[in-house]
Amino acid sequence: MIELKDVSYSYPNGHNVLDNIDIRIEKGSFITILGDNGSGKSTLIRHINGLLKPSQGVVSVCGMDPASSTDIWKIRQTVGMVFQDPHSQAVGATVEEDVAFGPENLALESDEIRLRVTNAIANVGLECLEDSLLMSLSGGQLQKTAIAGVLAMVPEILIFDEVTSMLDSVSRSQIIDIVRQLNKRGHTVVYVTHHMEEALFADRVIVLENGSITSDGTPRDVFREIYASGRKVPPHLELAFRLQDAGMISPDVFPMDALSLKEEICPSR
Amino acid sequence: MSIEVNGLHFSYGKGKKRLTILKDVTFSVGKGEFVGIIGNVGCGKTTLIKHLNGLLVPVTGNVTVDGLVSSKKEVCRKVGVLFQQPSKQLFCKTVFEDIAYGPSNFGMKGDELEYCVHDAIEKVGISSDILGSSPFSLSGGEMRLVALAGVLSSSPDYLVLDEPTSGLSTFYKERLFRTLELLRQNGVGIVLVSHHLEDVLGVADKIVYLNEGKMVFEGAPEEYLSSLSLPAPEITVLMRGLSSSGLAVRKTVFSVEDAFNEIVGALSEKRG
Repeated sequence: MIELKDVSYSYPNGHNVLDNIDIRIEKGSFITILGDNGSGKSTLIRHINGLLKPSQGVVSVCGMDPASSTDIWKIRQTVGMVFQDPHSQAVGATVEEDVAFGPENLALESDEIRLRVTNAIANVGLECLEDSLLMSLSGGQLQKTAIAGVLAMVPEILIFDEVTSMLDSVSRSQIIDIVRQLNKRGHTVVYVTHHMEEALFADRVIVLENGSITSDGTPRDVFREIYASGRKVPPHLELAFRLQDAGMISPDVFPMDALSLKEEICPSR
Repeated sequence: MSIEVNGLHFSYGKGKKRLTILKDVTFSVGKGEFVGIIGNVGCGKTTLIKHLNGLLVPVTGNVTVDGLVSSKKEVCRKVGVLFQQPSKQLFCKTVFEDIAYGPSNFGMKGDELEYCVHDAIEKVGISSDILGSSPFSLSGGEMRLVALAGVLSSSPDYLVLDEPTSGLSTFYKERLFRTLELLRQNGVGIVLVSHHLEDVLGVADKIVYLNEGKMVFEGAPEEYLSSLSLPAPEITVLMRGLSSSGLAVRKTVFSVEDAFNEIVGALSEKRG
Protein backbone atom coordinates (compact mmCIF):
# COMPACT_ATOMS: atom_id res chain seq x y z
CA MET A 1 0.00 0.00 0.00
CA ILE A 2 2.89 2.40 0.83
CA GLU A 3 6.19 1.78 -0.89
CA LEU A 4 9.41 3.80 -0.85
CA LYS A 5 11.99 2.51 -3.33
CA ASP A 6 15.60 3.71 -3.11
CA VAL A 7 14.46 7.11 -1.79
CA SER A 8 17.08 9.76 -1.04
CA TYR A 9 16.46 13.36 -0.12
CA SER A 10 18.82 16.35 0.09
CA TYR A 11 18.01 19.92 1.02
CA PRO A 12 18.89 22.61 -1.53
CA ASN A 13 22.08 23.35 0.46
CA GLY A 14 23.26 19.80 -0.34
CA HIS A 15 22.65 18.42 3.17
CA ASN A 16 21.70 14.78 2.69
CA VAL A 17 18.82 13.79 5.01
CA LEU A 18 17.64 10.43 3.60
CA ASP A 19 19.86 7.86 2.00
CA ASN A 20 18.53 5.00 -0.18
CA ILE A 21 15.45 4.21 1.88
CA ASP A 22 13.48 1.06 0.97
CA ILE A 23 10.25 0.46 2.92
CA ARG A 24 7.06 -1.43 2.11
CA ILE A 25 4.11 -0.93 4.46
CA GLU A 26 1.11 -3.26 4.17
CA LYS A 27 -2.50 -2.14 4.54
CA GLY A 28 -3.78 -2.19 8.13
CA SER A 29 -0.34 -2.44 9.73
CA PHE A 30 1.04 -0.37 12.60
CA ILE A 31 4.58 0.81 11.92
CA THR A 32 6.68 2.87 14.31
CA ILE A 33 9.59 4.88 12.98
CA LEU A 34 12.10 5.43 15.75
CA GLY A 35 15.12 7.71 15.66
CA ASP A 36 17.01 10.53 17.37
CA ASN A 37 16.52 14.22 16.63
CA GLY A 38 17.81 14.91 13.13
CA SER A 39 17.75 11.25 12.02
CA GLY A 40 15.40 12.00 9.10
CA LYS A 41 12.10 10.66 10.56
CA SER A 42 9.99 13.73 9.80
CA THR A 43 11.59 14.14 6.37
CA LEU A 44 10.75 10.54 5.55
CA ILE A 45 7.06 10.72 6.40
CA ARG A 46 6.63 14.00 4.55
CA HIS A 47 7.32 12.01 1.38
CA ILE A 48 4.25 9.83 2.01
CA ASN A 49 1.73 12.63 1.56
CA GLY A 50 3.70 14.65 -0.95
CA LEU A 51 4.85 17.45 1.35
CA LEU A 52 8.34 16.62 0.07
CA LYS A 53 9.44 15.07 -3.21
CA PRO A 54 12.39 12.65 -3.26
CA SER A 55 15.67 13.83 -4.78
CA GLN A 56 16.06 10.25 -5.98
CA GLY A 57 13.83 7.16 -5.96
CA VAL A 58 10.08 6.57 -6.06
CA VAL A 59 7.24 6.75 -3.53
CA SER A 60 3.95 4.98 -4.13
CA VAL A 61 0.82 5.31 -1.94
CA CYS A 62 -2.15 3.08 -2.85
CA GLY A 63 -0.81 3.01 -6.41
CA MET A 64 -0.54 6.82 -6.59
CA ASP A 65 2.56 9.00 -6.85
CA PRO A 66 2.71 11.72 -4.12
CA ALA A 67 5.19 13.67 -6.28
CA SER A 68 2.60 13.96 -9.06
CA SER A 69 0.41 17.06 -9.16
CA THR A 70 -2.52 15.01 -10.52
CA ASP A 71 -2.49 12.53 -7.62
CA ILE A 72 -1.69 14.93 -4.81
CA TRP A 73 -5.27 15.91 -3.80
CA LYS A 74 -6.42 12.29 -3.66
CA ILE A 75 -3.30 11.41 -1.64
CA ARG A 76 -3.92 14.23 0.86
CA GLN A 77 -7.38 12.73 1.49
CA THR A 78 -5.97 9.22 1.76
CA VAL A 79 -3.10 10.13 4.10
CA GLY A 80 -3.92 12.15 7.24
CA MET A 81 -1.06 13.68 9.23
CA VAL A 82 -1.01 14.82 12.85
CA PHE A 83 1.95 16.96 13.92
CA GLN A 84 3.93 17.48 17.12
CA ASP A 85 2.50 20.86 18.12
CA PRO A 86 -1.33 20.78 18.14
CA HIS A 87 -1.44 24.61 18.15
CA SER A 88 0.06 24.63 14.66
CA GLN A 89 -2.89 22.59 13.37
CA ALA A 90 -5.73 24.43 15.13
CA VAL A 91 -7.89 26.57 12.83
CA GLY A 92 -11.35 26.82 14.44
CA ALA A 93 -12.55 28.66 17.56
CA THR A 94 -14.27 25.60 19.09
CA VAL A 95 -13.58 21.85 18.96
CA GLU A 96 -16.55 21.30 16.64
CA GLU A 97 -15.54 24.12 14.26
CA ASP A 98 -11.96 22.91 14.16
CA VAL A 99 -12.92 19.31 13.36
CA ALA A 100 -15.43 20.45 10.73
CA PHE A 101 -12.85 22.59 8.88
CA GLY A 102 -11.52 19.77 6.65
CA PRO A 103 -14.87 18.25 5.54
CA GLU A 104 -16.33 21.75 4.98
CA ASN A 105 -13.52 22.42 2.54
CA LEU A 106 -14.45 19.28 0.64
CA ALA A 107 -17.86 20.91 -0.02
CA LEU A 108 -19.75 17.94 1.45
CA GLU A 109 -23.47 17.95 2.29
CA SER A 110 -24.12 19.34 5.76
CA ASP A 111 -25.55 16.00 7.02
CA GLU A 112 -22.37 14.25 5.93
CA ILE A 113 -20.21 16.91 7.63
CA ARG A 114 -22.24 16.55 10.84
CA LEU A 115 -21.87 12.76 10.76
CA ARG A 116 -18.13 12.91 10.15
CA VAL A 117 -17.57 15.49 12.91
CA THR A 118 -19.66 13.53 15.43
CA ASN A 119 -17.85 10.27 14.64
CA ALA A 120 -14.40 11.86 14.70
CA ILE A 121 -15.02 13.58 18.06
CA ALA A 122 -16.40 10.32 19.51
CA ASN A 123 -13.34 8.41 18.30
CA VAL A 124 -11.06 10.57 20.43
CA GLY A 125 -13.48 10.77 23.39
CA LEU A 126 -14.08 14.54 23.31
CA GLU A 127 -17.92 14.46 23.13
CA CYS A 128 -18.31 16.55 26.29
CA LEU A 129 -15.98 19.26 24.96
CA GLU A 130 -17.54 19.64 21.51
CA ASP A 131 -18.54 23.30 22.11
CA SER A 132 -15.45 24.25 24.11
CA LEU A 133 -13.08 26.97 22.94
CA LEU A 134 -9.73 25.59 21.78
CA MET A 135 -7.94 28.19 23.92
CA SER A 136 -9.49 26.62 27.04
CA LEU A 137 -8.18 23.10 26.29
CA SER A 138 -5.15 21.33 27.78
CA GLY A 139 -2.33 20.16 25.49
CA GLY A 140 -3.68 16.60 25.49
CA GLN A 141 -7.22 17.73 24.64
CA LEU A 142 -5.87 19.95 21.87
CA GLN A 143 -3.89 17.06 20.40
CA LYS A 144 -7.04 14.88 20.49
CA THR A 145 -8.86 17.67 18.62
CA ALA A 146 -6.10 17.67 15.99
CA ILE A 147 -6.49 13.89 15.59
CA ALA A 148 -10.27 14.27 15.27
CA GLY A 149 -9.74 16.94 12.59
CA VAL A 150 -7.70 14.47 10.57
CA LEU A 151 -10.18 11.61 11.18
CA ALA A 152 -13.03 13.76 9.83
CA MET A 153 -11.34 13.54 6.44
CA VAL A 154 -11.78 9.72 6.70
CA PRO A 155 -8.21 8.93 5.65
CA GLU A 156 -7.14 5.32 5.11
CA ILE A 157 -3.61 6.00 6.35
CA LEU A 158 -2.77 7.94 9.51
CA ILE A 159 0.66 9.41 10.14
CA PHE A 160 1.54 10.67 13.61
CA ASP A 161 4.68 12.81 13.89
CA GLU A 162 5.96 13.01 17.50
CA VAL A 163 2.40 13.69 18.66
CA THR A 164 3.08 13.07 22.35
CA SER A 165 6.32 14.97 22.78
CA MET A 166 4.64 18.00 24.39
CA LEU A 167 2.29 15.97 26.62
CA ASP A 168 2.51 14.56 30.14
CA SER A 169 2.37 10.83 30.87
CA VAL A 170 -1.42 10.71 31.39
CA SER A 171 -2.19 12.46 28.08
CA ARG A 172 0.50 10.40 26.34
CA SER A 173 -1.05 7.08 27.28
CA GLN A 174 -4.51 8.35 26.27
CA ILE A 175 -3.21 9.37 22.84
CA ILE A 176 -1.44 6.01 22.38
CA ASP A 177 -4.66 4.19 23.29
CA ILE A 178 -6.53 6.22 20.66
CA VAL A 179 -3.88 5.41 18.01
CA ARG A 180 -4.08 1.68 18.84
CA GLN A 181 -7.87 1.74 18.61
CA LEU A 182 -7.73 3.48 15.23
CA ASN A 183 -5.36 0.80 13.96
CA LYS A 184 -7.71 -1.93 15.24
CA ARG A 185 -10.54 -0.26 13.31
CA GLY A 186 -8.56 -0.71 10.10
CA HIS A 187 -6.46 2.43 9.66
CA THR A 188 -2.88 1.90 8.54
CA VAL A 189 -0.74 3.70 11.12
CA VAL A 190 2.74 5.17 10.68
CA TYR A 191 3.82 6.45 14.08
CA VAL A 192 6.97 8.55 14.40
CA THR A 193 8.57 8.96 17.80
CA HIS A 194 11.81 9.02 19.72
CA HIS A 195 10.08 7.64 22.84
CA MET A 196 11.06 3.99 22.68
CA GLU A 197 8.29 2.78 24.98
CA GLU A 198 5.74 4.04 22.44
CA ALA A 199 7.22 1.71 19.82
CA LEU A 200 6.36 -1.41 21.85
CA PHE A 201 2.77 -1.43 20.59
CA ALA A 202 3.61 -1.51 16.88
CA ASP A 203 3.64 -4.57 14.60
CA ARG A 204 6.96 -3.43 13.25
CA VAL A 205 9.67 -0.95 14.24
CA ILE A 206 11.96 0.82 11.80
CA VAL A 207 15.00 2.59 13.26
CA LEU A 208 16.49 5.54 11.37
CA GLU A 209 19.99 6.85 12.02
CA ASN A 210 21.52 9.69 10.02
CA GLY A 211 19.02 9.14 7.22
CA SER A 212 19.53 5.38 6.87
CA ILE A 213 17.55 2.40 8.15
CA THR A 214 19.64 0.58 10.76
CA SER A 215 17.00 -1.85 12.10
CA ASP A 216 13.67 -3.14 10.80
CA GLY A 217 11.65 -5.85 12.52
CA THR A 218 9.29 -6.75 15.34
CA PRO A 219 9.60 -4.68 18.55
CA ARG A 220 11.03 -7.77 20.29
CA ASP A 221 13.86 -8.20 17.72
CA VAL A 222 14.60 -4.52 17.27
CA PHE A 223 14.79 -3.74 20.98
CA ARG A 224 17.04 -6.74 21.61
CA GLU A 225 19.31 -5.47 18.85
CA ILE A 226 19.37 -1.94 20.28
CA TYR A 227 20.11 -3.29 23.76
CA ALA A 228 22.86 -5.58 22.44
CA SER A 229 24.54 -2.60 20.80
CA GLY A 230 24.80 -0.90 24.20
CA ARG A 231 22.17 1.77 23.59
CA LYS A 232 19.26 2.72 25.85
CA VAL A 233 15.94 0.86 25.72
CA PRO A 234 12.90 1.56 27.99
CA PRO A 235 13.87 0.97 31.66
CA HIS A 236 11.58 -2.05 32.24
CA LEU A 237 12.90 -3.68 29.06
CA GLU A 238 16.54 -3.06 29.96
CA LEU A 239 15.84 -4.66 33.32
CA ALA A 240 14.09 -7.63 31.63
CA PHE A 241 17.01 -8.18 29.21
CA ARG A 242 19.54 -8.01 32.04
CA LEU A 243 17.54 -10.51 34.11
CA GLN A 244 17.28 -12.80 31.04
CA ASP A 245 21.03 -12.59 30.45
CA ALA A 246 21.57 -13.46 34.13
CA GLY A 247 19.25 -16.48 33.74
CA MET A 248 16.75 -15.09 36.25
CA ILE A 249 13.69 -15.06 33.93
CA SER A 250 12.71 -16.88 30.74
CA PRO A 251 14.53 -15.70 27.57
CA ASP A 252 11.17 -15.75 25.72
CA VAL A 253 9.64 -12.97 27.79
CA PHE A 254 8.99 -9.57 26.15
CA PRO A 255 7.08 -7.51 28.75
CA MET A 256 5.08 -4.55 27.46
CA ASP A 257 5.30 -2.69 30.77
CA ALA A 258 6.69 -2.83 34.31
CA LEU A 259 3.69 -4.70 35.73
CA SER A 260 3.95 -7.48 33.10
CA LEU A 261 7.63 -7.84 34.05
CA LYS A 262 6.67 -8.02 37.70
CA GLU A 263 4.38 -10.99 36.90
CA GLU A 264 7.29 -12.76 35.19
CA ILE A 265 9.63 -12.24 38.13
CA CYS A 266 7.18 -12.94 40.91
CA PRO A 267 3.63 -13.92 39.89
CA SER A 268 0.78 -12.65 42.07
CA ARG A 269 -0.61 -15.32 44.34
CA MET B 1 22.70 33.38 48.96
CA SER B 2 19.60 31.75 47.50
CA ILE B 3 16.32 32.11 45.68
CA GLU B 4 13.54 32.30 48.27
CA VAL B 5 9.91 31.77 47.30
CA ASN B 6 7.56 32.63 50.19
CA GLY B 7 3.79 32.09 50.26
CA LEU B 8 3.49 32.72 46.52
CA HIS B 9 -0.05 33.14 45.18
CA PHE B 10 -0.72 33.96 41.53
CA SER B 11 -3.89 34.30 39.50
CA TYR B 12 -4.89 35.67 36.11
CA GLY B 13 -7.94 37.95 35.72
CA LYS B 14 -10.12 39.59 38.36
CA GLY B 15 -13.45 39.07 40.13
CA LYS B 16 -15.56 36.22 38.73
CA LYS B 17 -13.08 35.68 35.90
CA ARG B 18 -10.19 35.12 38.30
CA LEU B 19 -8.25 31.95 37.51
CA THR B 20 -5.93 30.94 40.34
CA ILE B 21 -2.75 29.22 39.12
CA LEU B 22 -0.50 29.07 42.19
CA LYS B 23 -1.57 28.72 45.82
CA ASP B 24 0.81 29.35 48.72
CA VAL B 25 4.03 27.97 47.22
CA THR B 26 7.14 28.14 49.44
CA PHE B 27 10.60 26.73 48.71
CA SER B 28 14.22 27.80 48.26
CA VAL B 29 17.11 27.16 45.86
CA GLY B 30 20.64 27.47 47.22
CA LYS B 31 23.88 28.00 45.28
CA GLY B 32 24.99 24.65 43.84
CA GLU B 33 21.64 23.10 44.75
CA PHE B 34 19.62 21.13 42.16
CA VAL B 35 15.86 21.47 42.62
CA GLY B 36 13.45 19.44 40.50
CA ILE B 37 9.91 20.81 40.05
CA ILE B 38 7.54 18.12 38.86
CA GLY B 39 3.83 17.83 38.16
CA ASN B 40 1.46 17.20 35.29
CA VAL B 41 0.92 19.60 32.41
CA GLY B 42 -1.18 22.57 33.58
CA CYS B 43 -0.24 22.30 37.27
CA GLY B 44 1.45 25.72 37.31
CA LYS B 45 5.13 24.76 36.85
CA THR B 46 5.84 27.23 34.06
CA THR B 47 3.94 30.03 35.84
CA LEU B 48 6.00 29.34 38.95
CA ILE B 49 9.38 29.61 37.23
CA LYS B 50 8.38 32.84 35.49
CA HIS B 51 8.38 34.33 39.02
CA LEU B 52 12.01 33.36 39.62
CA ASN B 53 13.44 36.04 37.31
CA GLY B 54 10.68 38.61 37.58
CA LEU B 55 8.76 37.78 34.39
CA LEU B 56 5.71 37.50 36.64
CA VAL B 57 5.12 39.17 39.99
CA PRO B 58 3.22 37.38 42.80
CA VAL B 59 -0.31 38.54 43.64
CA THR B 60 0.58 37.85 47.27
CA GLY B 61 3.76 36.47 48.82
CA ASN B 62 7.23 37.30 47.56
CA VAL B 63 10.24 35.98 45.63
CA THR B 64 13.77 37.17 46.37
CA VAL B 65 17.07 36.33 44.65
CA ASP B 66 20.17 36.78 46.83
CA GLY B 67 18.13 39.22 48.88
CA LEU B 68 16.83 41.23 45.89
CA VAL B 69 13.13 41.36 45.02
CA SER B 70 12.77 39.34 41.80
CA SER B 71 11.32 42.25 39.82
CA LYS B 72 14.64 44.16 40.18
CA LYS B 73 16.57 44.54 36.92
CA GLU B 74 19.74 42.93 38.37
CA VAL B 75 17.84 39.67 38.88
CA CYS B 76 17.60 39.09 35.09
CA ARG B 77 21.35 38.56 34.96
CA LYS B 78 21.45 36.42 38.07
CA VAL B 79 18.73 34.00 36.90
CA GLY B 80 18.96 32.53 33.39
CA VAL B 81 15.84 30.83 32.02
CA LEU B 82 15.73 28.20 29.25
CA PHE B 83 12.17 27.94 27.96
CA GLN B 84 10.49 24.80 26.64
CA GLN B 85 10.52 25.81 22.99
CA PRO B 86 14.07 26.87 22.09
CA SER B 87 12.95 28.27 18.73
CA LYS B 88 11.19 31.06 20.66
CA GLN B 89 14.48 31.98 22.34
CA LEU B 90 16.58 32.09 19.16
CA PHE B 91 16.27 35.07 16.87
CA CYS B 92 19.65 36.04 15.38
CA LYS B 93 21.07 35.21 11.94
CA THR B 94 23.90 33.06 13.28
CA VAL B 95 24.52 30.86 16.30
CA PHE B 96 27.41 33.17 17.31
CA GLU B 97 25.18 36.27 17.34
CA ASP B 98 22.53 34.44 19.34
CA ILE B 99 24.94 33.30 22.04
CA ALA B 100 26.63 36.73 22.09
CA TYR B 101 23.32 38.62 22.39
CA GLY B 102 23.10 38.54 26.22
CA PRO B 103 26.70 39.44 27.13
CA SER B 104 26.94 42.11 24.40
CA ASN B 105 23.82 43.73 25.86
CA PHE B 106 25.61 43.78 29.21
CA GLY B 107 28.47 45.68 27.51
CA MET B 108 30.91 42.88 26.63
CA LYS B 109 32.79 43.15 23.31
CA GLY B 110 35.92 42.20 21.36
CA ASP B 111 38.10 39.27 22.46
CA GLU B 112 36.27 38.96 25.75
CA LEU B 113 32.96 38.43 23.92
CA GLU B 114 34.57 35.98 21.49
CA TYR B 115 36.00 33.98 24.41
CA CYS B 116 32.66 34.06 26.24
CA VAL B 117 30.75 32.64 23.22
CA HIS B 118 33.31 29.84 22.65
CA ASP B 119 33.29 29.03 26.36
CA ALA B 120 29.46 28.79 26.40
CA ILE B 121 29.28 26.52 23.36
CA GLU B 122 32.03 24.32 24.80
CA LYS B 123 30.10 24.03 28.08
CA VAL B 124 27.05 22.58 26.30
CA GLY B 125 29.23 20.14 24.34
CA ILE B 126 28.60 21.37 20.79
CA SER B 127 31.31 21.91 18.18
CA SER B 128 32.15 25.57 17.50
CA ASP B 129 31.94 24.72 13.77
CA ILE B 130 28.25 25.66 13.88
CA LEU B 131 28.83 29.21 15.16
CA GLY B 132 28.42 30.63 11.64
CA SER B 133 25.24 28.62 10.86
CA SER B 134 21.69 29.84 11.22
CA PRO B 135 20.22 28.52 14.51
CA PHE B 136 17.12 27.54 12.52
CA SER B 137 19.10 25.12 10.34
CA LEU B 138 19.90 22.97 13.40
CA SER B 139 18.12 19.87 14.69
CA GLY B 140 15.74 20.25 17.67
CA GLY B 141 18.36 18.91 20.10
CA GLU B 142 21.10 21.23 18.82
CA MET B 143 18.73 24.23 18.92
CA ARG B 144 17.98 23.55 22.57
CA LEU B 145 21.68 23.32 23.47
CA VAL B 146 22.42 26.53 21.52
CA ALA B 147 19.60 28.28 23.42
CA LEU B 148 21.20 26.98 26.65
CA ALA B 149 24.60 28.32 25.53
CA GLY B 150 22.88 31.69 24.96
CA VAL B 151 21.68 31.63 28.57
CA LEU B 152 25.04 30.46 29.98
CA SER B 153 27.01 33.15 28.13
CA SER B 154 25.66 35.69 30.63
CA SER B 155 27.12 33.56 33.49
CA PRO B 156 23.95 33.31 35.59
CA ASP B 157 24.16 32.34 39.28
CA TYR B 158 20.95 30.33 38.90
CA LEU B 159 19.71 28.41 35.90
CA VAL B 160 16.03 27.59 35.40
CA LEU B 161 15.08 25.05 32.72
CA ASP B 162 11.48 24.48 31.62
CA GLU B 163 10.92 20.94 30.31
CA PRO B 164 14.39 20.88 28.72
CA THR B 165 14.16 17.19 27.76
CA SER B 166 10.85 17.49 25.90
CA GLY B 167 11.46 16.41 22.30
CA LEU B 168 15.09 15.61 23.10
CA SER B 169 16.65 12.27 22.11
CA THR B 170 18.67 10.16 24.57
CA PHE B 171 21.95 11.38 23.04
CA TYR B 172 21.20 15.09 23.61
CA LYS B 173 19.50 14.40 26.93
CA GLU B 174 22.68 12.78 28.31
CA ARG B 175 24.75 15.68 26.98
CA LEU B 176 22.41 18.19 28.64
CA PHE B 177 22.59 16.45 32.03
CA ARG B 178 26.41 16.31 31.86
CA THR B 179 26.42 20.09 31.34
CA LEU B 180 24.02 20.65 34.25
CA GLU B 181 26.13 18.52 36.58
CA LEU B 182 29.25 20.57 35.73
CA LEU B 183 27.35 23.80 36.36
CA ARG B 184 26.09 22.54 39.68
CA GLN B 185 29.66 21.60 40.68
CA ASN B 186 30.67 25.18 39.85
CA GLY B 187 28.08 26.52 42.30
CA VAL B 188 25.21 27.33 39.94
CA GLY B 189 21.81 26.76 41.53
CA ILE B 190 19.64 24.75 39.14
CA VAL B 191 15.86 24.51 38.88
CA LEU B 192 14.69 21.82 36.48
CA VAL B 193 11.01 21.67 35.58
CA SER B 194 9.80 18.41 34.09
CA HIS B 195 6.92 16.00 33.92
CA HIS B 196 9.42 13.13 33.38
CA LEU B 197 10.04 11.79 36.89
CA GLU B 198 13.10 9.73 36.03
CA ASP B 199 14.85 12.80 34.59
CA VAL B 200 14.60 14.63 37.88
CA LEU B 201 14.85 11.97 40.60
CA GLY B 202 18.35 10.85 39.64
CA VAL B 203 19.93 14.30 39.74
CA ALA B 204 17.97 16.56 42.10
CA ASP B 205 18.87 17.31 45.72
CA LYS B 206 15.31 18.36 46.36
CA ILE B 207 11.93 17.69 44.74
CA VAL B 208 9.00 20.10 44.66
CA TYR B 209 5.78 18.44 43.47
CA LEU B 210 2.93 20.66 42.29
CA ASN B 211 -0.66 19.54 41.84
CA GLU B 212 -3.24 22.03 40.54
CA GLY B 213 -1.09 24.95 41.68
CA LYS B 214 -0.51 23.64 45.21
CA MET B 215 2.83 22.40 46.49
CA VAL B 216 1.93 18.96 47.81
CA PHE B 217 5.49 17.76 48.44
CA GLU B 218 8.91 19.25 49.14
CA GLY B 219 11.79 17.01 50.15
CA ALA B 220 14.59 14.65 49.13
CA PRO B 221 14.10 12.22 46.19
CA GLU B 222 14.24 9.27 48.63
CA GLU B 223 11.33 10.74 50.63
CA TYR B 224 9.40 11.38 47.42
CA LEU B 225 9.78 7.74 46.39
CA SER B 226 8.58 6.57 49.81
CA SER B 227 5.29 8.37 49.43
CA LEU B 228 2.66 6.08 47.94
CA SER B 229 0.28 8.96 47.15
CA LEU B 230 2.62 10.58 44.58
CA PRO B 231 3.22 9.41 40.97
CA ALA B 232 6.16 7.00 40.79
CA PRO B 233 8.61 5.94 38.03
CA GLU B 234 7.80 2.60 36.39
CA ILE B 235 10.76 0.80 37.99
CA THR B 236 9.57 1.95 41.44
CA VAL B 237 6.05 0.70 40.61
CA LEU B 238 7.61 -2.67 39.68
CA MET B 239 9.63 -2.83 42.91
CA ARG B 240 6.54 -1.99 45.00
CA GLY B 241 4.67 -4.78 43.22
CA LEU B 242 7.47 -7.28 43.85
CA SER B 243 7.64 -6.29 47.51
CA SER B 244 3.86 -6.73 47.86
CA SER B 245 4.19 -10.20 46.30
CA GLY B 246 6.65 -11.17 49.01
CA LEU B 247 10.03 -10.61 47.33
CA ALA B 248 12.50 -8.96 49.70
CA VAL B 249 13.43 -5.86 47.67
CA ARG B 250 13.62 -2.16 48.50
CA LYS B 251 10.55 -0.27 47.32
CA THR B 252 12.20 3.13 46.73
CA VAL B 253 14.53 2.01 43.92
CA PHE B 254 14.04 3.74 40.55
CA SER B 255 17.21 3.01 38.54
CA VAL B 256 17.62 -0.15 36.44
CA GLU B 257 21.05 -0.84 37.97
CA ASP B 258 19.76 -0.79 41.57
CA ALA B 259 16.62 -2.74 40.64
CA PHE B 260 18.69 -5.46 38.92
CA ASN B 261 20.96 -5.89 41.94
CA GLU B 262 18.01 -5.97 44.35
CA ILE B 263 16.05 -8.51 42.29
CA VAL B 264 19.02 -10.81 41.61
CA GLY B 265 19.91 -10.74 45.32
CA ALA B 266 16.34 -11.47 46.44
CA LEU B 267 15.71 -14.20 43.83
CA SER B 268 19.05 -15.91 44.54
CA GLU B 269 18.24 -16.01 48.23
CA LYS B 270 14.68 -17.22 47.59
CA ARG B 271 15.78 -19.96 45.19
CA GLY B 272 18.63 -20.98 47.49
